[in-house]
Amino acid sequence: MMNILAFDTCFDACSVAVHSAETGGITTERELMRRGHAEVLLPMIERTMKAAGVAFDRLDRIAVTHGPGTFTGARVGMSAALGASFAHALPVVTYSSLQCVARAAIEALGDEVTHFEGVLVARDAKRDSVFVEVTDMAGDELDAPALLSVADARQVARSRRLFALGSGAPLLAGDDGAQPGGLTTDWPAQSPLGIAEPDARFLLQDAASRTPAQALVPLYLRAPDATPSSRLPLARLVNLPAADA
Amino acid sequence: MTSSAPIIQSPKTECKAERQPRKAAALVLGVETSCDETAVAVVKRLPDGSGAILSNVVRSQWEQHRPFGGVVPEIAARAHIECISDIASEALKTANTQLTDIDCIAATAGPGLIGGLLVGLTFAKSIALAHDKPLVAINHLEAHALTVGLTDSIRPPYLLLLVSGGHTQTVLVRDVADYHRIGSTIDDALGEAFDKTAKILSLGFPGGPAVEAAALNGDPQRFAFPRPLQGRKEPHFSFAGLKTAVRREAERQQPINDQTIADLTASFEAAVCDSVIDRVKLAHRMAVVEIGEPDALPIVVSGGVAANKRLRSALEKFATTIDVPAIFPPISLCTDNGAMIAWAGAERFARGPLAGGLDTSARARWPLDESAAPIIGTGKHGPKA
Ligand SMILES: Nc1ncnc2c1ncn2[C@@H]1O[C@H](COP(=O)(O)OP(=O)(O)O)[C@@H](O)[C@H]1O
Repeated sequence: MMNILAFDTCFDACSVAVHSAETGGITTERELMRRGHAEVLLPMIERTMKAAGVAFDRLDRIAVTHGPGTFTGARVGMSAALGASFAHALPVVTYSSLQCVARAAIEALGDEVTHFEGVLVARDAKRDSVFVEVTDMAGDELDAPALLSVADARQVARSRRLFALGSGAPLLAGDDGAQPGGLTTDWPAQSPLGIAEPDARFLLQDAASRTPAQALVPLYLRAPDATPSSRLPLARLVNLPAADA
Repeated sequence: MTSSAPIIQSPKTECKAERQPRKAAALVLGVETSCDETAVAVVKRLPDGSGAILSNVVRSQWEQHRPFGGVVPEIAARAHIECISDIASEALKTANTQLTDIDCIAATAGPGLIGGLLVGLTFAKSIALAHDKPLVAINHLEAHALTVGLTDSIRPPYLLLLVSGGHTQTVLVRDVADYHRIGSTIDDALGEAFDKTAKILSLGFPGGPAVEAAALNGDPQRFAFPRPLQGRKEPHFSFAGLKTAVRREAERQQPINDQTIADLTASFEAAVCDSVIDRVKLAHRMAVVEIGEPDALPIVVSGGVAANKRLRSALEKFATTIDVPAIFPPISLCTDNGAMIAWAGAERFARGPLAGGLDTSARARWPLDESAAPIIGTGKHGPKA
């Protein structure tokens, strides 16, 4: 049994979960929020660790979502994981935020899991694109998290009988409004905000057996917005022959 | 699964603060990620107020920003998180110490680029929590302001001239945690003016050293550039107009040759020096009146532009004429580094109560003197309030 600290700040929630080796119990705290993760996360970790009765120097490992997420959100979680790992030379296991959401959906589906071949978590990534990941009904990765065009994501949505959720899921409906997979229920209702946001306690399902990450870098899935400066003022100046040459 | 009741509101970490100034020596870890340098250092402060740098590891990212002709915030944030842990390990190793021996963790919380600040601050918070050490959130400007205490054992009061890529200001440092900003730039920071001038003349990035090298054999009198705000009663700075004047003159001189570039940059530096000296002279006079001591009030110069030799000698010459010392901390400690953050943390720690706990926010803008009226202007880091 391990003492494990898990947390997530990738999207519109901030959550912490601690597994205590001594009691076998899990202590969690979670708050839905669009901004402010950087202020909330560390005090939340402090409270949860205290409530769980686990001291930092007794931790065996850290579990964290490394992305995709907001760039800042993914970095806040990873920076905290890096700090805790550095502080006590702890291994860190990383998870995709979308996989974390898929596991919540699987738990919520209960007996209905048998109706589906997998879970598709789709997150609206703006600019006609979605972050997409598909897991099996045990919550293990089938299609690795990716940033796809809405058109490509629709293809994925129709590849299997999938339960779809997340802010990007409505974008995957066909032009006739038909929903992907064999889903017959109305899924905005199936995917209330609370379920479509990651919850760190789902990382604890297999954090003890997962292989620790080698490189602790966020999974951005998107390049930074930066274009090499094209408008170099007076660039032509240097191209002109020197007057006395 | 049990859920922890949110009633267990954690007391803010600042409660660790003691009421009395501390008497023992303190070891402080400092983390700096506000712009394009990832830096971690370990500094020791002795009860007599003297300090020693045990390690000071700095990794510059400017190669990553070079293709963009300036610092790209998202690239900076990504570069910080990739190396912060390695830099911190190296700092501890070089200092031959470990976290359990550290008394306090200091991290820059602003002003600066928010994405990068969050990496260093969150990393530091996490270490502080994991080792139950106090965290002190440092104002980057305060760190610049206090560096001479570490490097030259200079204690307040003194007049600080801070000239960097993001800031240009004069500050009366009355004491640790007691600052009065006298003048500030109304547009570009001085380092920014150097960088933009270099860009106009295609001299490369970062521009300061390139401009200085180009100016070496130039005639500082060939072009009569404006001396911004010279003679004005408000002690502020302005460099945007000067940069524009350089651009216009450069355009007029086309086709341009090396000598013209040398003369343009030398004339630019001459104008910068005249303007800065005029502004510092006024600020110094105001500072002396304010503290009411006719005694020599030292002038301390910090920030990357303090490396500029022409500016340095102009400031030294001016200080001699009014018979006050001019102090320049070593240039490696004038630009962004972790030692100055650790030192500012040590100074705060030594005084007892600490501001800033685990819920501290990073701040893109954070004037050193919160009571100073904002000065609206634009710059690399946005308006400098
Ligand atoms: N020799 C020099 N002459 C003039 N400016 C310089 C010189 N060396 C560095 N600089 C300028 O100093 C700035 C960097 O200083 P630094 O204190 O690191 O600032 P910041 O962190 O605010 O960007 C840059 O704008 C650079 O061009």
